[in-house]
Amino acid sequence: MPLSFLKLRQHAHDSIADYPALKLAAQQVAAQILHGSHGQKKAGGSETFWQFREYNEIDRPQDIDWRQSAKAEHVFVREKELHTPQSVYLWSKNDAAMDFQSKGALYSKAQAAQILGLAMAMVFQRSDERVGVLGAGRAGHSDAAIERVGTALLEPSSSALPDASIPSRSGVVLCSDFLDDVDAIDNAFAPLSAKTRQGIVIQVLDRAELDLPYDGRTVFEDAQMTDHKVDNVESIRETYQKRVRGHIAAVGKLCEGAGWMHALHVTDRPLSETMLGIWEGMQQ
Amino acid sequence: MSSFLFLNPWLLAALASLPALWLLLRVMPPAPKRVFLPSARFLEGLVPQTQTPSKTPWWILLMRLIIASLIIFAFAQPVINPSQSITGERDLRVVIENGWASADRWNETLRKAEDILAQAARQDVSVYINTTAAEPSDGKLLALGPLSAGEALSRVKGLAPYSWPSDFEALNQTLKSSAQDTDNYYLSSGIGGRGLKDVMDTLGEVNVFTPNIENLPLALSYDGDENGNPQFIIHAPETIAIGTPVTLQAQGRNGRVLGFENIVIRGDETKSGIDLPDVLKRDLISARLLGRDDAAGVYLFGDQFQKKSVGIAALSQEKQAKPFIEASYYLTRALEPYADLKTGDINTLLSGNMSMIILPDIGALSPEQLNNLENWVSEGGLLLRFAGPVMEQTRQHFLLPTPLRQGARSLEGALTWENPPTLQSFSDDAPLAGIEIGEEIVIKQQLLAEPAQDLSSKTWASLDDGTPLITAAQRDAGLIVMVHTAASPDWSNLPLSGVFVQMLERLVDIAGTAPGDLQDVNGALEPLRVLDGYGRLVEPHSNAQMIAAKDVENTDISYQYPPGIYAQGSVQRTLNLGDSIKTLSALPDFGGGVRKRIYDEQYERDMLPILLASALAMMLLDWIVMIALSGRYNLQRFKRSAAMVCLCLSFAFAPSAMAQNSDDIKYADGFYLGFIQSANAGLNAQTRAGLEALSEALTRRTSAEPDGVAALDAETSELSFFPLLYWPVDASDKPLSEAALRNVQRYLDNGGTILFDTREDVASADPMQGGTNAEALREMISGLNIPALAPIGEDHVLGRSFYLLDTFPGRYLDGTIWVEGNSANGRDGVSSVLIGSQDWGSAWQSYAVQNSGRNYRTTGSTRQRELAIRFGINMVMYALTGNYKADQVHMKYIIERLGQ
Repeated sequence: MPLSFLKLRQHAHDSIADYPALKLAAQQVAAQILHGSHGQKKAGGSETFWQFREYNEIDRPQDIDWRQSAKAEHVFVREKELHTPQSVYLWSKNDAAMDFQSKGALYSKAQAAQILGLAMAMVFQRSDERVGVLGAGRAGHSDAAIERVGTALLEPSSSALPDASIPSRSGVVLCSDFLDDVDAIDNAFAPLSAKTRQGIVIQVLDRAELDLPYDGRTVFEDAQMTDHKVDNVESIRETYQKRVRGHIAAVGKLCEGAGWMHALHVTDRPLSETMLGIWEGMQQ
Repeated sequence: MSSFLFLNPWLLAALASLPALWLLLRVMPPAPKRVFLPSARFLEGLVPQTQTPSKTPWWILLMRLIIASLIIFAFAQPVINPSQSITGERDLRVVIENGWASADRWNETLRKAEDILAQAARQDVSVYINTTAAEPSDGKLLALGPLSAGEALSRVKGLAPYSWPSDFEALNQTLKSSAQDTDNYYLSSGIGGRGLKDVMDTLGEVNVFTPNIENLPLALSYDGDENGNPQFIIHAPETIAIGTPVTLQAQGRNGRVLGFENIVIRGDETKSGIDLPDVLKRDLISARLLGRDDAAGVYLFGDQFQKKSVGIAALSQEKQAKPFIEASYYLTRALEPYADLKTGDINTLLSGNMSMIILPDIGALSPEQLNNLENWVSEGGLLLRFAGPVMEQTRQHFLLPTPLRQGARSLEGALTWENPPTLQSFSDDAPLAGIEIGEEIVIKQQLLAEPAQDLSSKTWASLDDGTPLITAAQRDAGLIVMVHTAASPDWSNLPLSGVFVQMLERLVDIAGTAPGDLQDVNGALEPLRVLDGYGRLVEPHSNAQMIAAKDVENTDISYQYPPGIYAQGSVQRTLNLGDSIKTLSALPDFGGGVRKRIYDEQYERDMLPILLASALAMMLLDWIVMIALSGRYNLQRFKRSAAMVCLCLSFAFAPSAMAQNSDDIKYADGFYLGFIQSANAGLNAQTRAGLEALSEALTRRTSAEPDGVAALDAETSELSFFPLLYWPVDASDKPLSEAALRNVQRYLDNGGTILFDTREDVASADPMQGGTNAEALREMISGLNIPALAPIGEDHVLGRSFYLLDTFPGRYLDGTIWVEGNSANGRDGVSSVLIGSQDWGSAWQSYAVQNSGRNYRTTGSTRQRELAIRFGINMVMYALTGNYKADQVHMKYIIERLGQ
């Protein structure tokens, strides 16, 4: 349908228009934790100096460090540290359910997920990893790759994880509210967890979803347009809170089983807090 | 006491449905809130323990019930203070008193009539209307009916009170002739009268309304004067509350308030006077009771308090050439505040009804004049004579209080070694007794009286050497007074003293009224202005009759002879309602079917609109509350839309900017050179061209840069925007109209400057009088108050406000500019009026023509035109900057020039 196609194009344009703002926000979040790339403690092809070594026949002449060689009798070659790049694939859910922002929240769930996702991408890129979008082509480590990831995150997505295969030993970063049935989530994780044990699941929720701060006669409408009529919200609030916390715990358990990291972000908290938490978890 | 009535009481039955409404409203639950929550899935299957009462909050319920009952009450049409005594079975008769006594409370009367008619409209009965005072058109009472209530209402609204009394006897006749079986209402003034009892008997059953006792009518009548102060009697009905306050006010011409007196009513006759200074007393034309707007509350004065007319005889009609030497100058200055002065020859004065005639230094009179004067004196005139050099020479001894010796006695001269005598005293029994001789009054020359037996009894004042200075003698009803010295200061300093003024004032006081005034008026006095019902002077209606002069005192007031001012020629008499009212009586107790009630403030009031409006307001409140409760709109947005509504309303009600004359806005915005247009169009064009040339020169040479030239009309233009007006005078100009004079005077008084230009060559004109244009100017501005002007001095600022000039040539080289000698304070030394004759406008125009390069013939030399434009620049600078160039700025150059 041409109309929906146009709509999509329009939306893509809007996404690109939003990209600078997203990039800025993500940079701010990423700056909190970036201190440099993590080296591999051995000679390699990165830009970082590793050691001087005597020249031998297999070395290319252009690798000789003439300045160092002039200081001594031998000819020295400048060796750089070895960096082994890894591919990290990101995904962030961006559907109607994510477009929710209660009073007091700093961002909508979708915005928080996008910023966190892109900030993660930047962190990985600075560490010379390759970043890409889950289910959309190959990963790269240029700035263009970051931009690709950013615009992809801004675009609306389906509610379900894309059914995409990733190369083994690459990482995945999944940002969503993960409010579906635990079994459904398990099913969606299965193909990914079979390939890699390096995964980060960022569960983004709104404070209102956790606490249910409503009262009286209320009709709740969910993303599937289903009405849930409650006559007395106060009386069921505690049960609800228990249920939601139980669900979060279940998702956390799921991640543990896959060897993945699980982080919960609530949108009324600063993003950098969550980001630092993830980073610390990654260092361990 | 207020009462309450429902016009549709059966509608109140709807109140019974309120409980049902209560139940209905109770079971209607409020709409639930709708919330989007992505995690709502987790609510599935949760069962709330208790239900929120899904009922409307009780206060909303209550509010809605109140709204419902308000609407029910509104349509039941409650009426406060209904006039409910109409049965609706019979027709209605309303008698409305509209004599003078009703005027003060006319509004109450009308409202009561409207109430009664509104009720008649509800009952749908026919209405008869009767009035009690004669209609001026035919002298009959108004009797209307049968009318519908609506027609009756419009007729009643057209009624007005008259200034003559009600005629109850005629009313009784009218009522008897049209007797109907009716519900009767009588709206009374509260004052009874002859025949009113019969009226009540004829009406039988009747509701009578009267004002309450403080508001009963009063009547003001005149009670002679005491020490010259007018005394009044205020008549009041005997039932009036003692202590009711009223204010009596004395009024002069043009409604000027001369004085007032607060009076407390002390019974049916209260006497009071108003103390007025003598000067004000002569302006007194009426007295009125404040707040009593009826014809009896006003007393009009004829000419009894007006200035007496005094004639000063002059031998010839010539204008006085030497004002400070002439006797009549001093007499005029002394008498002006106290008398109406006329100057003329004796015959003119005698025909003008003078109370007093002064002959200053007039000796011989023709036998005819003597005869007429003598007759006039015998009839009561006061003849005052002053000695003088002319009288010294005459041998005539007629019309003198005592014979005079030939020749004057000179009391001061080279050969006299005594000091001249002074005025010693005024005799105690004479009318001049008691005048304080504050200063020494020295008599240098006098005419002596021939010693005679009765001289001392005729002497009113004498000198310290015993010789009489003022003598007087009775001549029939009149009086002849002789002052033995001159009324000019060359014989004594008496005319320069305060004693002279006091003396003349006394004499004017004792001078009788003009003899033979009323008798002279043959026939009748015409009504000039009459009082309307509310005590205002208006044009008389067409049926007002003339009154024979001799009958004025005892004319009964009626529609033919309304109270007011009646006049013929210069004779004015007044007819006052108060004089004809000897007693005012309140309504007696009629008994029988007469129910007396008081007009009170409780008029019928329909509550329907108020109730409906409050129901609407509550509905609005309910709606707002429902919006707030439903939570669907946040308060922020509501606030914003409310603010928008307020904004729109405020725009709608913002007062539109006042329309302004666009020219005025233009002139107010910049500096324009203004000139007053003359009737001569050619002159106007020339002046405009001249001023344009001047403003161009100003722009080029100075920092004063006029925005243009404005042609103005003295009468209609707003002049206040122009610092300087150029006013070329043409012989064809008419004298200024009243409005123009006021406009120009206001301009001058508020700091404006006018340069008059008579545009004529003084060389060819009379040096003192000027030419025809000067004559036109004199006539034109004779009504303006212009300070004394003097020829411009050598060191006047005008000569150095920009250029140093010693002559001010225009088209004509010669001529003097006249400026104010002493400029008023606050004008910064700028003369308000400058008058010249050099025709600068034409010179400036020539300057423009010369500069345009075209080879037109122009008048005067190039140098002369340059000087003219320099004068123009100086003139503008003078008007704009005032006297600051009068100080030292040019002193250096001036001294240099003086040195050469």
